[in-house]
Amino acid sequence: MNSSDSENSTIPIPSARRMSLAITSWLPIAFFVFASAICVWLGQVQNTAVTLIGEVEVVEVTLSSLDEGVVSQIVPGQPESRIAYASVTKDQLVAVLDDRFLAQRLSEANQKLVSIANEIEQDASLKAEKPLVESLGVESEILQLMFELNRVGDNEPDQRQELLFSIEKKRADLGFEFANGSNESAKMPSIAARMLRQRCDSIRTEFKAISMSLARLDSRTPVAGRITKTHVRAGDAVSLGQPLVTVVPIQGRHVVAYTHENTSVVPFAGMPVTVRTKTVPVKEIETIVESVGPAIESIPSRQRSVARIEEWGRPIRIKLPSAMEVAPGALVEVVVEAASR
Amino acid sequence: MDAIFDSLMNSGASFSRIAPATILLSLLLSAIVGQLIGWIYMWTHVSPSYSKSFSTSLVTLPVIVALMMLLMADNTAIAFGLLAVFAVVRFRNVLKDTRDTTFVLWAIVEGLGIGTMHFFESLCGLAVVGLLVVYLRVSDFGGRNRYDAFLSLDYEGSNIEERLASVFGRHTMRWKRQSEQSFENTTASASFRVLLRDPSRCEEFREDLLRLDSVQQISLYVNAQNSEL
Repeated sequence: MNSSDSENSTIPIPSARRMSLAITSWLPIAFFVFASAICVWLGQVQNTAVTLIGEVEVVEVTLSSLDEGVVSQIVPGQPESRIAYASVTKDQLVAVLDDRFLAQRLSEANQKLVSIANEIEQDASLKAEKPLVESLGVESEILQLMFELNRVGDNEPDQRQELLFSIEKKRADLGFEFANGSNESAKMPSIAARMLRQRCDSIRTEFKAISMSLARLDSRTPVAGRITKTHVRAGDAVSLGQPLVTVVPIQGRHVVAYTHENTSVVPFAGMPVTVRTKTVPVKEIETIVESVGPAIESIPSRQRSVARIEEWGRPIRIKLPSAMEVAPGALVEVVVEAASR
Repeated sequence: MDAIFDSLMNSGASFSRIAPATILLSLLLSAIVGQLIGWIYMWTHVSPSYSKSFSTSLVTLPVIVALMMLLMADNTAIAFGLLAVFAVVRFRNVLKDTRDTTFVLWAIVEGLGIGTMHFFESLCGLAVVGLLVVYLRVSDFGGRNRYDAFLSLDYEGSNIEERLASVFGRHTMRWKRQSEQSFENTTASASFRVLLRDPSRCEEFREDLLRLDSVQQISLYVNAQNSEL
C-alpha cells in the first residue's frame, strides 16, 4: 500500500474501543428501559395482594355466681398467690360458695322430720304414715351425702366415686320403697294424718329447694384457659349473677382485621385469605373469612399502618384452624389475594 | 439457614413490614427518576462549570433518599437521630466533591438501617446502590460530548477546518473546535476536541497534521476529559 493510500484510508476502530464506546452510548438507555420494565412488573406483582393487620381475638369468659351466698373458695387446690394466670381445664371447679346456710336449713328440716317421727311412734292411728316419713328420712340421707360430695370437690376422685355410688344406691332403694308402699296409705286418711302429710310435703319441698341450691354452689369453667382476673376473694358475699373470675382461652380461634374503606377489596363471607404470624419461624395458613361487619368502623390503633393517624375500615372475622397456635391478642398479617376481590 | 433467612426477611422494629417487592420497586423507580434528572441536567447545562461527578450523584441520591425514607417510616426519633449524625459528619469533614457527599450519606443510611434492625431493607439498598454505582462507572454516565483528546495547533492562513477535514476524517470519529485566536501577522492558533478512532495511533495523527501546509506547532493531549473548572 503506498503512502497516499494510507493517508486517505480511514483508521479502523479497534473492537475493544468500539465495544467501550457502544457501552457508554447505549448502556444508560438499556438500563433505563430494562429498569422501567422491571418496575412495571413489580408494580403489578405488589398490587395483587393486599396485606392487612389483624389481631387474634381475645375471648374473655366471665363466670358469674349462680346463687347468692358467701364465697368459701376460689380455684380450690390453688394457693391465692398463684391464682392469677393459673391454668384451668374445661369444667374445672373455680369457685365454691359456703354451704353452711344450706346445712342449717337441712338441719331444721331434719328436726321437723324427727318430731313427726316421734308423733307417729306415740299415735298408733298414724302408723300408716310411717313409710312416708321413712322415705323422707332416706331423702335427708341423700342430701347429707350430696353435702359431703360438694365438700370433697375434684381433688379426691375415689371418695367422690364412693359417695356417688352411695347416693345412687339410696335413690334406688327410695324408688323400691315407693313401688312397694303400704296399702293402708290408700285408705281415706284421718284429719291428723292429712295434717301430717301436709307437713311431710313441706319438708319434701324444702329438701328439693336445698338440693337445687346445693347444685348452684359450685361454679365451673366452660372453657380451658387461664384465669386473668378474680373479681371476688374467699369470704366475700356475692349475689346472684355477680362476676367471680374471668378466664381467657390460651389459643385464639378467630382473627379480626379491617379492610380499609379506600381500597378495592370488597370482603365477603367465605373469602379465602392467608394468615401469617410475626413469629420466627413464620407460620402461615390459608383459611377463610367467617363473617363481615355491616358498618365501617374506626380501626384500632394497633392495627393501623400509622398508629396515630385514624383510619376507617370494615371489620372481618377470620376463623383460625386449630393447627394454628396463636396467643390471643397477637398481631398477625392477613393477606387477601387479587383473585378473591 | 432458613432461620437466618426468616430473621432477615422479618426484621424491623415496627410491625407493618413493607413487602420486598415494594422495597425493590421504590429503589428501582428512584434510580430511574434519578437517571432522568441526570439526563435533563446534562442536556440543559450551559455554563462551562459542568461536573460529571455531580451528574452521577444526581442518579444515586434519589435511591439513597428513598432508602432512608423506607427505614425511617414515620419515626420522628430516627429522623432526628439521622439529622444529628449527618450534621456531625458534615461538620467534621469538608466534602469537596458531590460524589463524596453521596457516599457519606449512603454509609450513614446503611448504618441507620442496620442499627434499627431493618436488615433486609439495608441489604437490598446496599445491593441496588452498589450495582448502580458500578453501572455509572462502567457506562461513564455524565460525560458530555465525549472526546478523548485535546488538539492545539498554530497555522498560517485561514479556513483551517477545510485543510484539517481529510486528516480528521481519517483519524477521528468526531471533533469540535473549542477556540480560535488570530494574531497580528497571518498566524493563528486553534484548539479542538477530538474523539480518536484509535488512540494508540495518535503519533500517526500528529505526523499527518504536521504534513499539512502551513500547520506549524501542534500540541496533542490524549485522554482529555471534561472536568470541573
